[in-house]
Amino acid sequence: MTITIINEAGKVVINVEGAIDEKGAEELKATFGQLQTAPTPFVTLNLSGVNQIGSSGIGKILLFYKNLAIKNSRLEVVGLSPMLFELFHELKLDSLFPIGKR
Amino acid sequence: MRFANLTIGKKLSLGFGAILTLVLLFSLVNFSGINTIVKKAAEVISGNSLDATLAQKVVDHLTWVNKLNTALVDTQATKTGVETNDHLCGLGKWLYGDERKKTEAMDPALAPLFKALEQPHARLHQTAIAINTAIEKNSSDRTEAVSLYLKETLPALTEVQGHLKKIREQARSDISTDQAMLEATRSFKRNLVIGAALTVLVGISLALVIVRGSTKLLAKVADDIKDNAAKVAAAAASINAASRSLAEDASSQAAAMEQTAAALEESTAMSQQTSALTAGSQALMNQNIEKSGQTLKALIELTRSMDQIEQDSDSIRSIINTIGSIAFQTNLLALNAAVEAARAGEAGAGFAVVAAEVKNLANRSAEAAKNTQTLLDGTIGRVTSCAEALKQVNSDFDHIVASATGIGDKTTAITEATRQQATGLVEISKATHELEQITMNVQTAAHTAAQAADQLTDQAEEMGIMVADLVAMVYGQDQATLASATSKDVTCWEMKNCPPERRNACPAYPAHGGQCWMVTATLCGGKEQGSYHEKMANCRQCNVYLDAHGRSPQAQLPNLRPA
Repeated sequence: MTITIINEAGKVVINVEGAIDEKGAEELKATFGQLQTAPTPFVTLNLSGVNQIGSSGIGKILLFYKNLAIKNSRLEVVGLSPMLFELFHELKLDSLFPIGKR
Repeated sequence: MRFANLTIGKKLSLGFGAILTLVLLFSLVNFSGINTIVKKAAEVISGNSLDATLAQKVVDHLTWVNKLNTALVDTQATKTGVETNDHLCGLGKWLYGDERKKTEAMDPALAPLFKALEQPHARLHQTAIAINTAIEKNSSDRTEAVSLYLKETLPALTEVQGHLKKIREQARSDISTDQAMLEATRSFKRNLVIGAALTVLVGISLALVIVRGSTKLLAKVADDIKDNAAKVAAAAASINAASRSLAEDASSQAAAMEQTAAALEESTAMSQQTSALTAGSQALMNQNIEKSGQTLKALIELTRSMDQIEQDSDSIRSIINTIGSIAFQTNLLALNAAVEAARAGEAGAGFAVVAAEVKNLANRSAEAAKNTQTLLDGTIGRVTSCAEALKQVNSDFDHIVASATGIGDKTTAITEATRQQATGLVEISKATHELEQITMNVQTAAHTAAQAADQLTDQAEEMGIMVADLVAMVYGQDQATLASATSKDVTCWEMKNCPPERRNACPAYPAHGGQCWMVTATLCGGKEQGSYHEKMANCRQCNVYLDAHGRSPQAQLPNLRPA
């Protein structure tokens, strides 16, 4: 799995490619941990390169969102495949943060 | 190629060919000899006939001259009366006819002699013409005629007779005589005897060589067949034992496979059940994530509120501090007012009351601010505790979510592994069933192989009988029996208590009691045996057979090579 972070003006974009399995979820957690040290008002998680995500990965996104929300930062998840979009919708994650298809 | 290496067919063909060639040569020699004798006989006959003919011609011309002489003497005769044409006299007809040609063909050496005869012969007859002319001219005077006779006829006659003599001598030397024919016949007879003796000698030698060679070859073949039969029998016995062992193993294996298949089916069912259960846990995990998300919202709000409360507590603390400060200032002012009222005396008495009330109010305000501060401190302490607890809740929640979702992944992995395991178990179960079928096939094949080995044993035994027949064909039945018997001490009629009247009718009696299984149409137990297989099935149960084979059929096939 490959993770790249782009810092724009007042906005951070995290691009993820590959399958987010247990190992990928741990990498994602480490990346989120780095970002939390420097609060960012708006974070975009781009999952256009991801076709598979496990419950660990979803859990990490949930906690990342929580930590951002507590600090009044916002999160959006974009580039979801139709299947992942359907999954996020089914898990009502769209009620927590905005999600977008590819 | 050496003669010993030739096949029997080639040896026999070669031997018969050689004998036939000898007979043919002998016949040709005989034919040639007889032909020579016949030819010699014909030659002798022809020679004798020629000699007789030529002798007759000599006599004829002597007669001819005598007649001419008589006519010369007879003064009354007007003519000689002899044949004047040399082609019409007896010799002339022979000399110019086919007889001469045949004679020349028989003995070409006579041709120039015949040619030499022609001229004096013609001259002889011409003298007769001259004499006739002389007589006709002067019949009374025979002087000229006599002169011609003496000067020409007699020399010509002498010459003709000389030629005829030479011809006869030549013919006698060239053409075989009776003695020569006799010698030739004797020689032929001698050659005939020698040739016949040689032919018989060569024929006997060849026959001996061929018979000895063929016998040795047949004995070798018999030995080889015997050895091979023993090997085949041993191999068949091994195959039989191995096949039966294999069949037993396959049977045990089939039972084990059946148990394995049952266990696998049970494992497959359990695996499928586990797969269904883990699939249900996936749904629960989704619900958990969903609820965690909703809880997350409340937790975020709570955390935010707690932060706000903490921030508000600080503001309240500041306000209370301000109130305390105001009360302190008011108290100071009230104190100053009381001092000033006392200084003013009576006039300040009312003001002093007011100052006292203000002071009282300031004190009460300070007391209230102090009490409020105390309460606020307690509240802030509790808020701080709540904030800490909330942080702990957040941390615990993080762990719960992480653990729960981690379990979800593991459950998913377990689900997938279980599904794959179930699939694998189905495949294994299928393979096990196939293996079970294969094992059954192996069992069947082993049984078939055992039966084939039995048949092979039968054939090996039949081969042994064929070897005995072959030896009997080569050396005679007695030798074959002697060679094939391994246990001459046991006879079937003794073993079977066969009564004499029955054994007398059995082909195995009296010479083959120790190897009665090798004799057809025996009367074992008083009943004539059927086909070979029926007979051998019976024989294998027989003590005679088992004793002869040292309790191991075909283990000791007899040495068939004659001593």
